[in-house]
Amino acid sequence: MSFQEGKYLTSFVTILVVTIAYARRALARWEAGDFDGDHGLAALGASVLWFIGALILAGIATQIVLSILSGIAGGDVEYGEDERDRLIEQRAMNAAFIVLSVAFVGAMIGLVLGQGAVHAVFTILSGFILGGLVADVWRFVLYRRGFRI
Amino acid sequence: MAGTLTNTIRRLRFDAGEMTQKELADRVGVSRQTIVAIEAAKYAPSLELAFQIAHAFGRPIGEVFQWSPK
Repeated sequence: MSFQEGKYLTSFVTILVVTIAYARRALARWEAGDFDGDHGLAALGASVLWFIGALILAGIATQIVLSILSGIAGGDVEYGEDERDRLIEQRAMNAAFIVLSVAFVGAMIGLVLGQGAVHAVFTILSGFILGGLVADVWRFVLYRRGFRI
Repeated sequence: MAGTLTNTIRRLRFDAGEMTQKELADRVGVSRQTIVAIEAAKYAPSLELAFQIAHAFGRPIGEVFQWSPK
């Protein structure tokens, strides 16, 4: 497995683990009514910001560990970006954008159908997370399988 | 029109005194993994990169990359 494949596999697992941990906590708080009332959206916003911070920190930590382990194992640890990396990134971002767009439209439809703002925020957040996961899978597949322009 | 792009990079590296993939990658400014992918025909390089690779071996591009219709 190349360094890039390992990088995106690690990223995928990190997003999944942090998201599951956050989702369990956020759903418990939602059921407990923490996101209801006048200050509910502020509490929700704060919890999402904590989640994003945790995701970034976990992402940095796991990438550092991966780089160290790859270095010890004598594998390629390549940080530069070339034309192949940029093309793969572009395709992954396109896939993520489609997922996010679907989630955003879904959130808007939910609002029209009378669902609350908390629902809408969680739907859009799910779109971001799912988009990130899809992008990582897409990167992994393109690095592994290869592709033609 | 669909076609198959092949290359002779492996042989040219051998002819160039067993030039490593890393050496070639450094010469043309890409990662070793990209050279691996090109050699294995898993990635079709841009025209500019194809010319750079040919230049690294001092050969015309047609000697390095070949395309044939399916």
